[in-house]
Amino acid sequence: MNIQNDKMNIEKQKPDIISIENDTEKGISLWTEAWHRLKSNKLALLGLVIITLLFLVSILGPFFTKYNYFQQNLMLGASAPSLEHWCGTDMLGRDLLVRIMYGTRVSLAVGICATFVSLTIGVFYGAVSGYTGGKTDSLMMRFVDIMYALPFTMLVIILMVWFGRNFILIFVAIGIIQWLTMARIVRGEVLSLKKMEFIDAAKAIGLSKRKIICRHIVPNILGVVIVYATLTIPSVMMIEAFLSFLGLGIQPPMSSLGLLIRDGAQVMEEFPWMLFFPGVIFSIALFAFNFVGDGLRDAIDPKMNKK
Amino acid sequence: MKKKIWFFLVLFIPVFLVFGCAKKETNVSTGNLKGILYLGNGSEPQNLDPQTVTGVPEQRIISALFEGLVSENPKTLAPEPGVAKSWSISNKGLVYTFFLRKDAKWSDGTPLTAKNFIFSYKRILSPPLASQNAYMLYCIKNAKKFNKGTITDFSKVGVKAVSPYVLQITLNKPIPYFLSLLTHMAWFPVDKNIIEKYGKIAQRGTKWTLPGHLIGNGPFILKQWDINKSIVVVKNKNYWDAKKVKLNKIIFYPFNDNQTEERAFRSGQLHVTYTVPTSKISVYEKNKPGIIKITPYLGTYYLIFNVNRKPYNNLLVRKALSLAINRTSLAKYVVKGGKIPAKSFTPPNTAGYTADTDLDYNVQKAKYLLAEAGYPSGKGLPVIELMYSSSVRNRRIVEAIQEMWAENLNIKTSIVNKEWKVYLDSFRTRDFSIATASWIGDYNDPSTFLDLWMTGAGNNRACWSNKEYDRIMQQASDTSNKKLRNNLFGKAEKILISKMPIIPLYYYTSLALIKPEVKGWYPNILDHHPLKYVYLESK
Amino acid sequence: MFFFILKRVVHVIPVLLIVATITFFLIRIAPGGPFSLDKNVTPEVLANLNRHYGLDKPIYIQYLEYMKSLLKGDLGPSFQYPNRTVNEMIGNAFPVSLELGSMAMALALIVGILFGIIASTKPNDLRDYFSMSFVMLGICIPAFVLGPILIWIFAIKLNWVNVSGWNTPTDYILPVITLGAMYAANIARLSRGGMLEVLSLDFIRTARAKGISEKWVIIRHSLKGGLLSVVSYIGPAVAGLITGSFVVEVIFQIPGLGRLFVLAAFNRDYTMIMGTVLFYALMIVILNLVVDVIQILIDPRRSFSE
Repeated sequence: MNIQNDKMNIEKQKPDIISIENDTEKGISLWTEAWHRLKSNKLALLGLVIITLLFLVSILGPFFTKYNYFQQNLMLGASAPSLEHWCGTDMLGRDLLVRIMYGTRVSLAVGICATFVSLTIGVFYGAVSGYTGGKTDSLMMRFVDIMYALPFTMLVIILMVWFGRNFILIFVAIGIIQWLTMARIVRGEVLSLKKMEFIDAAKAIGLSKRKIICRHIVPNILGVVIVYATLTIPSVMMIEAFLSFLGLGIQPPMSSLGLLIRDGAQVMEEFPWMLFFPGVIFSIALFAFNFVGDGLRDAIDPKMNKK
Repeated sequence: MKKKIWFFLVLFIPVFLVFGCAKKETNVSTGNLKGILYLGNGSEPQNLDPQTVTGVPEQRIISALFEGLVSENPKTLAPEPGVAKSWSISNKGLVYTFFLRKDAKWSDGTPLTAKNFIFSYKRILSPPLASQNAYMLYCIKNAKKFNKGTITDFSKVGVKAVSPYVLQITLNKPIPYFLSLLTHMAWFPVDKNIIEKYGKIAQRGTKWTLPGHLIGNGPFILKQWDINKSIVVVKNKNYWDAKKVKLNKIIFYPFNDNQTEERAFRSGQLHVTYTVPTSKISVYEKNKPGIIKITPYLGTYYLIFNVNRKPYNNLLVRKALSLAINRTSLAKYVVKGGKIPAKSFTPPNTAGYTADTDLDYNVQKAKYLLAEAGYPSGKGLPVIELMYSSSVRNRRIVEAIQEMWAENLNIKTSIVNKEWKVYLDSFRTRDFSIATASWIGDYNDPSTFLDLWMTGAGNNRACWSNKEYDRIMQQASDTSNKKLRNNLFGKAEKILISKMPIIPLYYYTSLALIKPEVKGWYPNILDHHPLKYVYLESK
Repeated sequence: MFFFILKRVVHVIPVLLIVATITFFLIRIAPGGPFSLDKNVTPEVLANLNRHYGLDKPIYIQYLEYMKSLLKGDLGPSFQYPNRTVNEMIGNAFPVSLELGSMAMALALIVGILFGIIASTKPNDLRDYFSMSFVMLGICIPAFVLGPILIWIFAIKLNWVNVSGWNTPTDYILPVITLGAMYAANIARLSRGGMLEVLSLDFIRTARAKGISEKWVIIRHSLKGGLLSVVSYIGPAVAGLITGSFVVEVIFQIPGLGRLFVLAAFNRDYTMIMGTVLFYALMIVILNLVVDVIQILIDPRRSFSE
């Protein structure tokens, strides 16, 4: 399902060097330069603004609404947007606006946590594999190949069924699937870094492998990692929506954007607001993350010549 | 940039024109002309062997391909001659003698004799076949023993071919509704020649049910079966009553998604569908009332307790939970489709029996009982785990109940969604506290509902046991006097409701969307619509 | 090249065996078996069912027997549809998914590459923003929303095509668009990125300086290099497409492999799950190999001795 990040940049053996030792040359550091480039990308900036807004509204919003997300009004049922309910109500008479806010919270949480899980596992796995090289690297990548060959859907179904439908389990399950891509990308980066002189220098002065990995390799791949982490969040949110479609996602009465959209798609013709509002928020969130991620990638890659 | 926009427009316009102007023939319009019925049949049938399947989609097709000794009147469901043109009951209701038609044939023209029925019953009762419906034949003398393997000589079982066209069945005890039992597919005959051509008598999953192989004795024959695509049956010329059959062909379409099926109906791909998404019920009722059919259905939707688990072993807790549920709201606003809030377990007017029990919605009393049970204002009550199987309808129901309990009793419920297979397994391993459940009657008699709760009954998932209840039910099964039976059932039901191992919520209705050209389709409580009588009348 | 391929083929076999083993044990550990049934079956019936399917034997014997028949190419009978074999069912469903998947991929490639190139010609310009926003719809709208919306517009309101089914050629349009949308978006992104990178290289500057028109600069000089990353994306993407998309198949009523597969998982149809998982693994591995070979062939920087 999510293979977009797969071999995207492995071919680009671009060096992304930052020496940890202080920058002696004057002028702007790489990060500042990247920030400048990012700023010129209007879409990415818009994305950042949107993401910030989403966070603020979803975390603080529910404090300001009249209803809470589980209050039902069975007699009312699904009703169109009105002054009472700005986004309308769902089929059990619950206020949709506050449910969307909660849903955004949950979706963002799942997105970030799953990405974090995949990041943690992926970066270290990829770094170790790439740096160690040789037979260990071969073996480790063989394992990744095998994991790739297992169909994601079935794995998740089995994991969810095995461990029950725990909220935490969802992002662990997703994270466990997503780390493969991260590992591959990181390994690619590490492989190219390995050939750099400064690594030889570090080896020459006798730094242990662990220290080299932690102090020199990891900070230099940070850029790539941040880019892909930002791009993983939206695909995780999409996966969560897919799981909701299967009935395996977030469990009621909690809601996630995926669940809201799923319910909304079912009653799209009779109660269009149930799809419209969550759908728009969901799409905007995904757009925003994708644009920021793309922008970051463009910004951090020094080879691109932008006029 | 401008050039590119024009380029795309120029490309797409002719494409759209072609589609816009093409006149589309729908299935319904072709079907009306040619006598072909298009039917949405829910999930893909697992198999078409009448003796090893249990699902409703399978049953619909099998009833078109096979016919039993007795068939049903499409309006009243009263038993009518099927393969048997007449019968006599003797020995105080213990012996049934069926006189088969001499012109009854298999679809390949070979004659259907009493020996075929002996073979069929032997097959379904043979242990290796592992038929889930074999228990339906346990009313026959020694059938249960043969099915359990206690005896291995089938000639001891109470079925006999007295002569080529006379079949005699001996029961363990008189059963007043025996004839209606015979309309269930477990009793349908199967052709020995075909089955033995593709395997042994009691071998599961052989290829005899594939198109081109399958031989039945019903109004239609199996022509084509593409998995997940369609099943096609055509009129059987060798059917004894072929004159009455007006349809030439029926095409069954499997669907996995309610919305997809309803859309297919709306756009003219189907004549009939039995799936109506909840949100569309009121739309049809308002705009197209002639098309949607809502009929009382012989089934009850309920919550079931595991009475061995604390605190559900406490009767007061169970009663409190029941009193805190607003069944009227649930039926009217959540489930919709004319469901009636339950007052008993057995649906009203089941073969003339209506229970005399009541199920209240009384929040004050609920609070009081909960306090009496030792949980004043819900304090101290452990979090309730309400298990349900994945489906949108179930989810809405449990969400509503969760909220009702929270608001009315101040208690916390966690709803546990389990996939179908895991849900079923949880019952088997008794790994649940409260769960949603539904029971659809196998035949039109209260015993199909009340038998469930006898001690040790196979489907008694509540693990509930009550000696008085057992005694009364035993008495009821020993008598064939209708009035006496109903009286006893009433008593048993009172015990059931007062002890509350289950919380009945509502009685089912069956929903269907039917195009006006479809005739010969009559609503009834078992939702059986024999396709033999259905025909298309184009305007 | 031959030895390269041979080496990879040899690697494929243990991968498949391990996948088979992991799946075999994983699905048996999951709760809920194929015979958890609606009406409580008596223990005898359950025992007989288990015996018929060999589930009463110790698990390692089941494993060995399965492996033995696997080597013969026999995936066994389906648990859910007992009168069909898994080979048969996959054989019927795969061509459908293949059709759907290839058309979706073709659409995704055309639309994606086109938009990606358009976007890359004037980065950070309105043209870039609009093109990319348009294709991004593919990644930002889930298929189970896009599908019903398209159906509502084109099949119900405008009545141009059927709402579902897989019979007439017009039935193909909406599912292909729904399925291809996400891939189009990713391809657009990749090609934009690749083109941007290539277009910033020195030899392009030279070509422009020589006076070659922008059109030829793009088509003749940058395309091959720019689309390199698209090639590596296509491999696993095609595998995913071909093995069916459950969502699209359910919404459009298409008898493909995706539907077969997810339903098998829910029904605990062990043999079907194994069959489809192995099939998927095989597809991925083969396609990865094909993609790698193509990459090495197109990219002058690489060679088969890696």
